[in-house]
Amino acid sequence: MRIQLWLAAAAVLVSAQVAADVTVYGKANVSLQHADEAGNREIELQSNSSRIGLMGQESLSDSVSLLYRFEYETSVDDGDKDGQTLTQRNIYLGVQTLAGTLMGGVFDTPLKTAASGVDLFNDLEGDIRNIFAGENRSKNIVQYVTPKSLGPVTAKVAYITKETDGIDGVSASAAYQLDALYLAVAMDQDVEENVDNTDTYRLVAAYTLGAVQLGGAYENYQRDLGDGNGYFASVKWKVTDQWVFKTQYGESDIKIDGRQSFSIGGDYIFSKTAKAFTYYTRNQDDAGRDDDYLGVGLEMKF
Amino acid sequence: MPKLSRIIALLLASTLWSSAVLAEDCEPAVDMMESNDAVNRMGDCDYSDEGLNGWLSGRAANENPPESGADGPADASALAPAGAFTLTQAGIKTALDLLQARFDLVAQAAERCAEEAVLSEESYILDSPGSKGLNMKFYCR
Repeated sequence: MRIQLWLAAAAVLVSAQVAADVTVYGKANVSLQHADEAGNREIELQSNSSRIGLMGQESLSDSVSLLYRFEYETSVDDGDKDGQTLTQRNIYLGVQTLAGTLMGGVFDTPLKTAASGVDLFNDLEGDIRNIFAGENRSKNIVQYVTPKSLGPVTAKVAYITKETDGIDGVSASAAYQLDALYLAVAMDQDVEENVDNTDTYRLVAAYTLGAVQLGGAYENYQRDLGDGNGYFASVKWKVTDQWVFKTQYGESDIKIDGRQSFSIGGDYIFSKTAKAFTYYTRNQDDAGRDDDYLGVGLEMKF
Repeated sequence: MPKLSRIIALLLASTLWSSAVLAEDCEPAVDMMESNDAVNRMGDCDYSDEGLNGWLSGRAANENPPESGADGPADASALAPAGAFTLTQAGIKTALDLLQARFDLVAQAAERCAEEAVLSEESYILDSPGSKGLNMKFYCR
């Protein structure tokens, strides 16, 4: 009888564990925008990094577990992403112990993820990649992440074994997050494909003051041809439980001289997983780029 | 004595189950995975009942129904097995309160079923600032 009872308890445990092992997640983000790119005007339906992924963790012992993530992008607007239905985003397999996590695959570098919280128009026309270098999702990357036991500090070191150009790269970051404050410093060395002798340094800060979140970043990019600098600032104001106002501005001479990006917009929150949004973005530079985008969209997370 | 053993087994099961239960203020998985410390947070929240996961686990439950579910509803989308019942405890403010509440509900469930009480779902609600409510769904078999 006792054995039967424990078997029944074990069955419940196993079924609960199995259910928690694999998580399917993703989002559909679609917007209808009016684009004015140097006078060329058109209405566009955009899929803004809509994705579906699997992630999970499997315990090997009390202190060791395997973790994985397989995430793919799909284009909700026309079904075509670089000639494919699904393209790889962040894919990795890793082992996690009390000493930290060691993982390998293709995924965003430490420098890129360090600024993920302050880019309020991420994946839209006002994405931080318009003005900053270093927004890389690297292939053949091995990364160490410090353990959770370090509390508010998370440090990462990644080695990118670029098998195409023979120039291996390094990316690293150290972040501090406690309550309303987030601070990060990050660097890249020779991470971009087919580029040698490049260094990128980034500082990121964010602070939440009640309903308002202030964010900012500074970047210095060094290469043989010369240096470039850029900065970026963002403000998000949760006006009510339903309405969020947000704006951001950045300028730099990293990618091209006089690059400026300004965005303003708002979200209407239906629920924790659904929202409608609107935005206006203006991207311009000294080389003649003068683009405006006005859009409305929907996002559903699952 | 058999009842006590059942209570202990169910209590152990529900305690371990709850270790993976959705923590307070869990953001959607897609947002969590974009955070800087995602690999250290993957185990913090249980998304098994969220979005597609809830639907998939419901499908799995229907494909492997409990014995008592043979006379259950014909609707394939119905998630609750026949004979399911939910017990609730409110006013949980500390970890000890939670342990006591879980013990009480498991004891009630074991008393209610002639043979076995099986925990099928556990959820929490914020019933007032600083105070949580615990819902535990069981079925008898």
